[in-house]
Amino acid sequence: MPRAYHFHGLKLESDFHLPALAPWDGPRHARCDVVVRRAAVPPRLDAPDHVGPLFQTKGTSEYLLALPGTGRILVRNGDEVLVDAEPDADPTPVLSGSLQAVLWHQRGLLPLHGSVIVVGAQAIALCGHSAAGKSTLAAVLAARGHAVVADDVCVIDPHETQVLAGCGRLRLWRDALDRLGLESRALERAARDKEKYVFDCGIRSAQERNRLTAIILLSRRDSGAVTIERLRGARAAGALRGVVHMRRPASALARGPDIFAGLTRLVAGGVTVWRLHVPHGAPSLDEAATLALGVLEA
Amino acid sequence: MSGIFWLASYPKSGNTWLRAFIATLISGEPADINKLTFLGGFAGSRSAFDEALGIAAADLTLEQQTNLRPRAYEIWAAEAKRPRYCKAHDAYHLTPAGEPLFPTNATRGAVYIVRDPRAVAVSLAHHNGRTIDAAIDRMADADATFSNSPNRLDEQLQQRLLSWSDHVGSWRQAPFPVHVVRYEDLHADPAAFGATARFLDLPDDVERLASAVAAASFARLQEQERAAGFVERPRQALAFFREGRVDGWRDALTPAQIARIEQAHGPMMRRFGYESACADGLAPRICTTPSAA
Repeated sequence: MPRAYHFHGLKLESDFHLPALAPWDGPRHARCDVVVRRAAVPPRLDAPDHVGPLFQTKGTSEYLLALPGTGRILVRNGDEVLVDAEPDADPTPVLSGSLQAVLWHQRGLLPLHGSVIVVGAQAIALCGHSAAGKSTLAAVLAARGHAVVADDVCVIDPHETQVLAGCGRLRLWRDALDRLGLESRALERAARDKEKYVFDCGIRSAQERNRLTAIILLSRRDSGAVTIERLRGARAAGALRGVVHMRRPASALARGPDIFAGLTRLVAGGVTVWRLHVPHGAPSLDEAATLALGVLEA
Repeated sequence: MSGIFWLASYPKSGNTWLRAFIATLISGEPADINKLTFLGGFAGSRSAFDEALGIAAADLTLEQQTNLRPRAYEIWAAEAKRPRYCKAHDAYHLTPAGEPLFPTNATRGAVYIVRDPRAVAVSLAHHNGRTIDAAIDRMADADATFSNSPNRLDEQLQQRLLSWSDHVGSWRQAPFPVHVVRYEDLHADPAAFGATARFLDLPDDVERLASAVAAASFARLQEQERAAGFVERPRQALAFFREGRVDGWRDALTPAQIARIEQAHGPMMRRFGYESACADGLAPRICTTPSAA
C-alpha cells in the first residue's frame, strides 16, 4: 500500500517508507504529483547521452542510477521514480537525499545542498557540502523558535526568488543530537544501518513558498573565532555553483546553462551570499546561529 | 601525461611537509598550507568523492563507499589535464568487492614516506589527543581504520590503515612504481627531495629545489599554522605542525614503550634502517621488555 507524503508543496506517493518526509495532510483525493514505485528497471537507458560509472542520462528527463548494493533507480520527467531494489537493500537514504535533487533538476528548479530556516517570511539557506554542519545549525536555529522548511535539499524557484517549503524534519547524527542535548531513543532512524535519526522540529512555515533572502555557505575551520563575510558579484555566484546539489548529474541532464542563469538571477535579484566560518565545537554553534540571523539586517 | 601520483604515508609521517614542498616546486611560490588541494586533493575526501561520482557518500553504506572509491579516482585521472598529486593515508588494499582501492589504470606512481614508528607514535598521540600507549596500540592494530564512526558524519571517508608494519608493507607491494623515501632522509639531506622530484617528473634544478626546501621548512609551516590555522588539524590536537624532530621520541617514550614498538614492528623497522634502541643502547634510558616494565 503506497503512502502519501508532503513534498515541498507536492503530493508524493511512495511504495517505500520515507521517514524524512511528513505524511500528506492535504485533500485526500488530491492528484498525485510524484510517484515512487517498485518496478523492474532496465540495466541501461536506450541510446543514452551520458554514461558514467554510476549513472546514465538521456536528454533532460531521464536519469538511471545503477548502484551496487542498492539496485537500479530510474528518475524521469520530474514526476516518477522507479526503484528496482536488490534483495535486502535499503534504498531509503538515496531516495531521501541525492535522488530528490535529481528530481528537482528535472522539474526545472534549482536544488542547492542546504537546509532552510524561515524567519518571519524570509528564508535563509544554510548550504555546504556533506558534513559541513547544515542540519545541526538548522536545529540550533529551530531551538530558537524558527521554522525549518528544508533539510539537505533546498529547492529554489530562481524566477520568483522563492524557496519551496518542505516539512520541519531534520536528519541528525547521534553526535549532533548529543551536542544539542536531544534524546535519540524515541526518534525514528533515517536509515537502518546508520545512527542517524529523523527529528521533527515541530514548527511549520505559514507559507508554501518563502522569499529567499540570504544564502549562507558553511565552512569548517580548525580553530579561531566564528566569522562571517559577505560575498558579492561574480565571487558570490562562483561560490554558489559549488553548492548546487547533484551538480554532475544536473550537468549531464543539460541543466548547466539554466543553473548558471538561475544563480546569476539570485545574486542580481538581491539575495545576499555569505561565508560563515565555524570552528569545531558546540559553543561556536550558538555564535554561528546568531551571526546567521544577523544577515537579515544587512 | 596526466594520471595520479599518490603521496602515501601512515599518518604523521611527513605527508603535508612533502605536499608543501611539491606545491612550492610547482608554483614557484611558498605554498599556503591551507591551499594545497590544487595539487590534486586527498584520497579520503568526502566532498571530492561526492563531486566526482555525482552521489552523496552520506547516502551509501561504508562498504558501498569503499567499493566506489576506485571509480572516483578513475574520474579524477580521466579529467585531469596534468598529473594530480594526491595525499593518501589508506594502506594499499583491496576493496570489499575485491579490487585495488587505488586503481592501476588511474595511477602513474606513488611516493611513500616512511618514518620511524617510534617518532610516529609520539606525533600520533598528540594528533589524536590520546596517550602514547593508545597510539602504540593503534599502530599495532591489524584492523585499524579511521573515520568510520557510526555516530557522526566525518568530513573524511572511512580509511583503512592496518598496522604500521602492514601499511608500509602494503605500499611496497603495489603493482605500480613506488618511490620510498624516509622522513629522516628528507631532514638530513635535501638530495632526498631531489630524487623525489625527479620521480614525480618535477623540476629538479638545484636552485629551485633549494628554494622549495627552504620555503617548505618545518619552521615556516609552523609559522603559517600559528598565523592562520590549518584546515587539516583535528579538533583534539593543539597543533598539526608540532615538533617535526627526527629523534624527539628518545625524550618522549619510556623504555617500555620503545620496547613495545620494536617488538611489534622490528622486522619492518630493520628493513628501513631503524635500529633497535634496546639493542644498541641508543636510547637514553635502559630498555626493558613491556612485561618487565
